[in-house]
Amino acid sequence: MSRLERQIERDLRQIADRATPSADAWNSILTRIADQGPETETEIIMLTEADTPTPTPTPNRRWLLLAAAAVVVLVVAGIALAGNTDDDSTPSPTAAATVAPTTTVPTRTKTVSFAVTPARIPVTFTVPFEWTVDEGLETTYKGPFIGDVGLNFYDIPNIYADGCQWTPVDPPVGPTVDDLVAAWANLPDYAATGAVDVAVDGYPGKQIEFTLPDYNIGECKGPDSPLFGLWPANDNAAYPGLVARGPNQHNQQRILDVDGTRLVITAYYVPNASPQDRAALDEVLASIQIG
Amino acid sequence: MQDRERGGPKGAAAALEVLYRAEYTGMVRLAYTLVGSNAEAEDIVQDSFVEVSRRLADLRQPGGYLRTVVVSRCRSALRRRRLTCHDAPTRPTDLTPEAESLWDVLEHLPEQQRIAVVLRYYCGCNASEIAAIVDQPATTVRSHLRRALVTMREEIVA
Repeated sequence: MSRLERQIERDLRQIADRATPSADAWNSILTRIADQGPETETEIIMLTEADTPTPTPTPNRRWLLLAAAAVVVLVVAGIALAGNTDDDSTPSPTAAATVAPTTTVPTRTKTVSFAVTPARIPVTFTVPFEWTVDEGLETTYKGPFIGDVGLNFYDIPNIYADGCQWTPVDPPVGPTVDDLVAAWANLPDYAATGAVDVAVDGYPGKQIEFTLPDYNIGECKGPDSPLFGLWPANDNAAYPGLVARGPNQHNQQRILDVDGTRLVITAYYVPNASPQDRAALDEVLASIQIG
Repeated sequence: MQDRERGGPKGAAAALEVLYRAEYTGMVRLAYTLVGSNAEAEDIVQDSFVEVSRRLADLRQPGGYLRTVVVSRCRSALRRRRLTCHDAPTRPTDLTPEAESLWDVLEHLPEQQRIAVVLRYYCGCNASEIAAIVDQPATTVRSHLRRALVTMREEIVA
């Protein structure tokens, strides 16, 4: 280790020591858990033999094995969890069995609520238990970082004509649902479908789908890492409000009129997203409640 | 059989408290080196404990999983801060000149380089371990570390 590296180690420890963890953090954590309310955790476990459930060796088995003799539905509240020793990177707990064959179809979900800025439109929906929820970006997705499938809510002020260089369309998109639909339909590189009528939780709107271009991320703009932007942020037009996961990402845009305010629900998936993940995304979309 | 072994609520709560006592302070310090704000670090770590609590009974290494969640949330916070141009946190006033210099460099490092540096030199992780935490190839992590060291060699007060 070089002298510089030893200095970095020492100075990082000094910086870390300036943190002042609060004494009542434990109570705060318990309060946060209680404030979340009971989790909706439903596991359907199918066993071919009557036995004491023990961990399933891999998550995939739950999806692969479907024939079964008995069905047990567990609704677990709060932090009551069933035993499992899945790998940390894919912790999808079940109370499955060592007996074989064992089938478990997990439908464990969590309920998420956002107040979509700037109008603070309340939306509620359920997502798979392991999905990440980013309240600040009003986004949820599978995986620890921006995943291969995900969902975003936004009051889009304008869109980018060139997402790689964050160049907005000019003149800016008008305020109505049809204005935004027309703007996306007119982007030459997006291959947008025709708009169709849609309603989400009773609110009317239009749905349009498109595929992002096969861009070269290395040529894109970014504050540090390059990013392909979909539209400018509504609180700072100099930066994207949402960035893409990757080239050829498929977007399904639902543009709603919520009592005079335009609300855009973006469901996206990358070309190699699994059918299971896309099905999960469809279920999240179907669960959306507004208001 | 103890409640923990049955995966019951009391067992899970007790296991979470054990994890809290073992890891909370260290996780706040880690988060603080990443986001530079004590309040934000505590918020991130407490939310991370909530997330871990939901699946605690399923984890072989809850401490490792907790660290992954904390780092992921710190990364989101850094990314959100850059995207929304929020002000950088205030530097503590009682650091040595060398540590002040490091603080300033960290603030300007790209988020992935910053995370790699902190995990390498504060947590003592090697490139493979960092790669597992940040879900990137080890070669990418090594590249982040190399670039960060080049920057720091130029910027840090020796």
